[in-house]
Amino acid sequence: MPQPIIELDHVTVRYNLSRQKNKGLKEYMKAMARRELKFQEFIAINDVSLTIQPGESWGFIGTNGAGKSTLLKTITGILRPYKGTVRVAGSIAPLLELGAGFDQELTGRENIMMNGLILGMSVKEIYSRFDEIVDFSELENFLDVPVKNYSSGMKSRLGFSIATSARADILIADEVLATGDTAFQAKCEARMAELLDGGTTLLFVSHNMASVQNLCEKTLWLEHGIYQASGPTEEMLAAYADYLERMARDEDLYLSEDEEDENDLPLDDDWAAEETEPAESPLSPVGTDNQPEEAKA
Amino acid sequence: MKSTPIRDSLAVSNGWKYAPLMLNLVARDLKKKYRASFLGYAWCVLNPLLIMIIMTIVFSRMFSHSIENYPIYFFTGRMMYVFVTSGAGAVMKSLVGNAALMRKTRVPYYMFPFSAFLTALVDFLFNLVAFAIVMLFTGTPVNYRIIAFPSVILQASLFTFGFGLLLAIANIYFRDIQYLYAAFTTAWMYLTPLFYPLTSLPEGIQGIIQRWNPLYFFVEQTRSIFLDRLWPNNITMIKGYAVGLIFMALGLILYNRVKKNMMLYL
Repeated sequence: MPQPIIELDHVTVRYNLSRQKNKGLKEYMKAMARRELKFQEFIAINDVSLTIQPGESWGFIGTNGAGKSTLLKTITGILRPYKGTVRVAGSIAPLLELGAGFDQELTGRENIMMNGLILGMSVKEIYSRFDEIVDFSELENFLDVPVKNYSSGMKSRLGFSIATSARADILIADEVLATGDTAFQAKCEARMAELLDGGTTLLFVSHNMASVQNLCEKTLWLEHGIYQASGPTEEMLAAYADYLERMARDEDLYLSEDEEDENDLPLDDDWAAEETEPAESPLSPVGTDNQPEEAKA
Repeated sequence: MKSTPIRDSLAVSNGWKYAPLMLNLVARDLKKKYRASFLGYAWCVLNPLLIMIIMTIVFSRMFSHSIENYPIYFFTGRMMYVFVTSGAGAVMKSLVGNAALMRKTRVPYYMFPFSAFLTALVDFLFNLVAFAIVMLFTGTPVNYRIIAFPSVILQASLFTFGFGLLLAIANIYFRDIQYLYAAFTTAWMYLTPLFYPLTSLPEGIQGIIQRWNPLYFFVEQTRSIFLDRLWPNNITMIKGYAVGLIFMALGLILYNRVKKNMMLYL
């Protein structure tokens, strides 16, 4: 048995809900005076254990809010487990969000350098792989345009190209293909399959079950931060599909009895929105959908 | 197989691995600041010159009996003031301002305060170029005691980074800090003899400023070097190092204390 590349041992991750932060001095003083200064916690991951061997490909599935992204952030080292331990024996190239690590004001060219450095590449490596990155992203003509003018499809192309050229031991991809068009999605899947052949370990979150099926041998299923099941992808997807169907049926039942319990049901609207996210043309006119990073932060 | 770098230890445990990223962050900040303007980086030098000229026109006559070389008097004060307040201000915003990056990538946290400080230091060097121009134009001589100036920059740097780090951490928990800071720096400007002579204040207040205003320590030493062409006063220098080291130590201690849970509040 080879040494696992990732080992999660009874990991629990706790969030501080946003009500507490950004509170400001006045509110803080008031709360302190009233002795209400409590940590409003939210358990995002509850006692999850997982062992991943080098070269494996894992899919992560579950409805919105299941804790998939939190789990990947914990593996990446961005979040610390509240309880339990995370052991990672290898370099990681995380792709946790569309355009994460891009500076909106800088051009595509400058962002390749910046993002490459953030991913731990050396300046020399970035220069030597520059053409490869540009070729794959198909953004030759937009290299000197600030990233704020890129469409979301263009950002995901660039982000994916940089992250996959980092040649890390572990590639983490969190729902990053959703905004690419079908052709680019296929290209990305091919690239990931190629990396897998080369021995890279892949952690892949997607609501696109076909992609999970194509790429991942094994799958972990989470709901509400709680481990549901893990194993061969096919079995997991079947169980998950059953679960979704059951939830949908239960919801119908609830609705007809007019006693809907909003806490227990997956947010169906969100789910639908995720599924039908429009694939954008990568060559759409610049400046159409720039979302400044500040606004999201 | 190499293990993952420890994300947020302040010890530069990865050697120089992150140095290029640090430089890139500094270059990013400078680029963003000046790219949009027509004259670009020339503003780094032009801006302090313009302000100096305006202040000299407005105030030099008012204080002509007590200040001999007004342009240099004002410039030395302002350049230290701008370095300390804008440097600490940039460090203050560095953690909250880069939260989006910190949430999605695995860059060590200390990169952000440190690169913000380095950016301020580069701005200060541009300021020195403008200062050299003023020295030439006003025909102010320099002597070998100019070699004491790097020591003043070091004291001011220690203070600026330490003070900024304390503010940056406070700013994570209370975002009000950054608004208070703007008012604070205005008060600080008036409480430091930048454009007026210290002697124009009531004596009691003079004593307080001489004893308790860290900015005054740095300004005073700079003026000794460039206006009086003397070595900085020993006591002032010791105070300058002391305040720098104290703030640096406090900043680092607090940083090490909160770094584990910082992400929950960002």
